[in-house]
Amino acid sequence: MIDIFICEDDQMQLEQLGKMIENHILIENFDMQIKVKTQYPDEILDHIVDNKTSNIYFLDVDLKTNINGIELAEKIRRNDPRGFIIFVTTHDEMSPLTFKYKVEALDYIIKGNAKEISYQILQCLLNIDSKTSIASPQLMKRFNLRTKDKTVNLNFEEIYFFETASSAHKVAMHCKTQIVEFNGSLNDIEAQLDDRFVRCHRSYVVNIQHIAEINHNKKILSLHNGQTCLLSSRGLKMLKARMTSIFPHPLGQ
Amino acid sequence: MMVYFFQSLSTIGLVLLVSKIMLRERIVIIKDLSILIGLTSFIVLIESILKIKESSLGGLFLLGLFVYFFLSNKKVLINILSLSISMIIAILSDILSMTVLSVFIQSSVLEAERFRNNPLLYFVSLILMFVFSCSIALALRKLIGKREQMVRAIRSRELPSFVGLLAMGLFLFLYWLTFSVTSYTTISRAILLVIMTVIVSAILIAALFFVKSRTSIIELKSKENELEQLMMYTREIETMHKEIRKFKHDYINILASLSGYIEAKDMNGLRAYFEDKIVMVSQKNENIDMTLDRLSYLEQLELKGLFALKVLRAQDAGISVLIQIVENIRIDMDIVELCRVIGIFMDNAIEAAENTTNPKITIAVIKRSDRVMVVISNTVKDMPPIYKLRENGFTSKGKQRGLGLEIVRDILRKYENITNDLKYENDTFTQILEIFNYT
Repeated sequence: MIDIFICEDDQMQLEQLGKMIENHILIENFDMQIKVKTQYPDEILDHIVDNKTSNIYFLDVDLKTNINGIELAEKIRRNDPRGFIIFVTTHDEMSPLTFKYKVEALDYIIKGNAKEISYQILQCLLNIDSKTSIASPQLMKRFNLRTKDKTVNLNFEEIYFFETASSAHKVAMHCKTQIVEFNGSLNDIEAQLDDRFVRCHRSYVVNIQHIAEINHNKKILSLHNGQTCLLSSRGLKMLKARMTSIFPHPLGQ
Repeated sequence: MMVYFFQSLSTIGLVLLVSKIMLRERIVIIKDLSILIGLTSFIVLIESILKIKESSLGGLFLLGLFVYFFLSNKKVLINILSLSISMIIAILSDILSMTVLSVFIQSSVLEAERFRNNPLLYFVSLILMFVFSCSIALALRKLIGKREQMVRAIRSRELPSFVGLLAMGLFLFLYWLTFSVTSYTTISRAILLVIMTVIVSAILIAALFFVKSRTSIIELKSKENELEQLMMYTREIETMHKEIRKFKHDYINILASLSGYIEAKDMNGLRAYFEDKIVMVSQKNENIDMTLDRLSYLEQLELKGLFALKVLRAQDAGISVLIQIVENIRIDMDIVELCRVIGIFMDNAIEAAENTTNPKITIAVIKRSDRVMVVISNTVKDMPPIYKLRENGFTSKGKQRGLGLEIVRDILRKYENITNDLKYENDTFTQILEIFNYT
């Protein structure tokens, strides 16, 4: 059962929001319940002091109290780092990038007519439902990297390779649609990965799944997307051993 | 004659080897050796024909090596640079090997010179010299990094230091010439010393003046730019204020007439008036462009001005811009470099968004407990594979462009506490710059 917390300064809108969410839970049979419905941010914070689970929060951005919704979300994050935060906002104060990057909010709902709000709430709840009900073995395969400055959460197969970036102490993670840099060493990261990743060179850790071609002469690996990684003799040996253990047939046949 | 030939051969060979190391070029034994022997014989032959004694024609072999390198890699600047560096290294290691030798056989450096006539000692000193110079060259190569970087550094910013390096190379070369050529008399040595001091100091003074004039021009230009940006920003804020004042005026008038309807208890008139005027005014309110207003949260004037300029340019190009800044923010990074990076990001965003059907740029500057994030996202059409953006010299815009992201990487390389992520999803490209508080 996932708990839902709602904070909205306008009594009318608070009731309306609560009613809509309750209706959706009933109709879709979600495993959720509304725990707190309040006009005061402190009430929510009081409830999650000893929080151990991931909850859902619907927060109005403009709370007309000493703190606003974004600040409230920041405080919530300290006790519930992986909870689902959804902002309720007017068109004027809408700032999706801020929601996303400041408190890693899941989504936002724009105030408008009742039908639209209700639809947006449903989308959010469906999204959360699908995220939380995925079978756990699948979840285990996800890469949940934690360095001192960044947390990355994605499927292993989405990662192409890691390389030490141009400046020391920085590692760049290459994926299909993003490149993420973080502080750390390849050794630390390698320890958090599974079998499909091989340290093919001092400054590369590559995902075997994405290797298209191994060039022995030039000591280069080509990936399916056209990128290349360097290859050391030791790395080549390790790569061959790993590949034969994963694919029993010899390479290239 | 044979001894002299061998001496020249070893000197030229050393310089050739060291510059090959500096140039990161493969050593092709047959080709290099034949060039080496050919060049040496040529020089020795000329010297014997013209009856010039010893290495007065030493400069000639540098020219020869330069021509040889130029023919193979067609580069001018890098060849001159690595040859002069090699010269410096060779001379330094010569002095070093002499010093080491003189310690072992317990005599002064000058006396050690004489041992050159002893074949065994000469051979040992030669080997020492090779070892020293190769290790210095390898270390230096590692330090300097890729040779393209070296060239770029010289071209863009550090031309004066290049001149300085050349001057130093020349100085050491002349110095070495003065003392190694035993046939010179004391007077001719003194004259040579005076001449070279004059030449070298002239070059250095010229370089200094050059640096000074260049930096003052750059300073002046950036001041001018800043002023222009701030003026544009102020003008924009002024028009915004004018519109707000106008709205306030309207709104007081409307309230006055509303109270008129209420006093007359004319409900129908009130409703009609409300629907007619109030709805219209609130729409008008939405039309006031408050985009730039958000920039007032940025504490650094330079950054504010830069964003204002770029946002106005984007709006001129028909791009809708959304700025999301909700709190006072100060970014802890060298302001000139920060502005360069942001400027490049914004230029790229504008250029990419321009060609899309629904052009849009979103800017967010966000403060978190441990960092400040600058997020710039834009709509994009025909996105290249994302990794191409990190490759040197990649551009989707034709020749002489696309240096921007390379400059960004050069700048960010120095900062251990800054990361730059790229993201592409739903036809939107996002640049994320994260500046962490720790150092």
